[in-house]
Amino acid sequence: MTSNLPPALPSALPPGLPPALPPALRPLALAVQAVVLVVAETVLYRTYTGHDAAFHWSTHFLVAVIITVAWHTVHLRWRGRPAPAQLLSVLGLHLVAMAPDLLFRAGVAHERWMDVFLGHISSHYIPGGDRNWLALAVLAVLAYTWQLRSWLTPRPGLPTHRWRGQVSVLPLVSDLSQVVSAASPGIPSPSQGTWYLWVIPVRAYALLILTGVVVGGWLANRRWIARGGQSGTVVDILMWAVPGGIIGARAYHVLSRLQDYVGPFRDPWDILRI
Amino acid sequence: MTRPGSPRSGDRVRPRAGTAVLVAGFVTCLLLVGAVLLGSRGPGPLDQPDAAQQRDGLVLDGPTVAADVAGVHLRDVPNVLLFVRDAPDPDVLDTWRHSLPAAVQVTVVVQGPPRKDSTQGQDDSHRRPEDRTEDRPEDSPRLVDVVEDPEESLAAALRLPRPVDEGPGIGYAVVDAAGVVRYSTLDPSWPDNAFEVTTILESTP
Repeated sequence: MTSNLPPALPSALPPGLPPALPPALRPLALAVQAVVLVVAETVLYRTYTGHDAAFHWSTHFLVAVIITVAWHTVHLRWRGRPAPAQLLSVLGLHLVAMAPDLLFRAGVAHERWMDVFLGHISSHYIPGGDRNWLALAVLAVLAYTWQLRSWLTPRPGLPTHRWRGQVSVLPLVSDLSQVVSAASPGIPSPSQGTWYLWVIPVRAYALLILTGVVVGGWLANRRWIARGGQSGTVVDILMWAVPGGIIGARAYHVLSRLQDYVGPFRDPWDILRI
Repeated sequence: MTRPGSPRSGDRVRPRAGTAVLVAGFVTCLLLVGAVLLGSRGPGPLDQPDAAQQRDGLVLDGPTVAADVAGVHLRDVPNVLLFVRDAPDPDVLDTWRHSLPAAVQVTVVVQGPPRKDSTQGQDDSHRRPEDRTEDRPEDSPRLVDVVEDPEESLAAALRLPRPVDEGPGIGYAVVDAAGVVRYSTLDPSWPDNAFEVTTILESTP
């Protein structure tokens, strides 16, 4: 019996990675960046305290930290090495995030469109305010630290976290889902979930499911082929997996809310009315 | 030169670096929490409970107020109303007023219950600016109007927020020439922030 299973993932350092520390992680470079960052942030902080507005400093700083970490994570996964300017990029993004405050000093009042500066306006209004931004920032830094450590010391038998070549995206998706879950109390619910094409309802959740099927199928097919699998196999699997997934999800929903479908004044046929 | 089969220097460096990165990440988190906790302060008794709403820099679109509220005419020219609990120091008020554009009407609104005048026979540092105009040279115009508003009707009309201590708000509001409220915020440190009023005025239609 022949097997179509792809070869095992590499267990040593991925080819092309330097054996020693990459330039972005050299201690001297990091130390210099840390000094510049602390000095510059102190100056920026004083610009806020000078007119008693320190409560507007930390929001943009924390947003800059979170976006920097997200960028470094993507860079580490996609390019297979840490991004340059590990610490200075926080300062750069912080300057972008607080740009409207600098404009305000120059005589330009805030406007809603200034959200293009890393959410300068809206970032103040998430529930929990800076406390939640701080929690997200700490979570993001810890997650990135763990990924960096895994990249520096790959363990035999475990896949690397690189996206290119033989890739494992799942750890990143898992990390992102944790961040999104933590942030979800602050994500506003959309005001509309259904649109109509004439009389045909188009529901947002259905669009998201379809998007997930298409993107997931495309990604799985790509990875399967990269590992030596045959084209079309993933489509065959999808033909069973997607209906099974939808039926299973509906079954779970019905079982977990059985009182809505069975009992006095309930119509069990509603179970089939999706 | 490394002999074949001998361990590369990086094989020893990287695991150590991995541990160092973990420590650095943990220390970074501690510094992050420390910096933010030390750098931010909670709202003081004169601040809004939600700091994000205080001095957010966003020009408003309303409401439109009546032409006259508590004896203050709010039409024809842009109005800046400074809400205080006690009459401010005249020198501080003069400096603040000089920082604003000349073509606006500035009114100081003293809120809260009226106070007994206990300054008779004493120095006049606590007297209100309009009381001191008699001391000015005759050609020196009065810089601001001062009104008392114990009922806080102006603050209510201009939607001045209520501070943490539930007392009358200390801050300012900007009303354009058509009577539309363009800005209304608490600002206990108003003498330091005249530039903000100017920026709002320049952005006021």
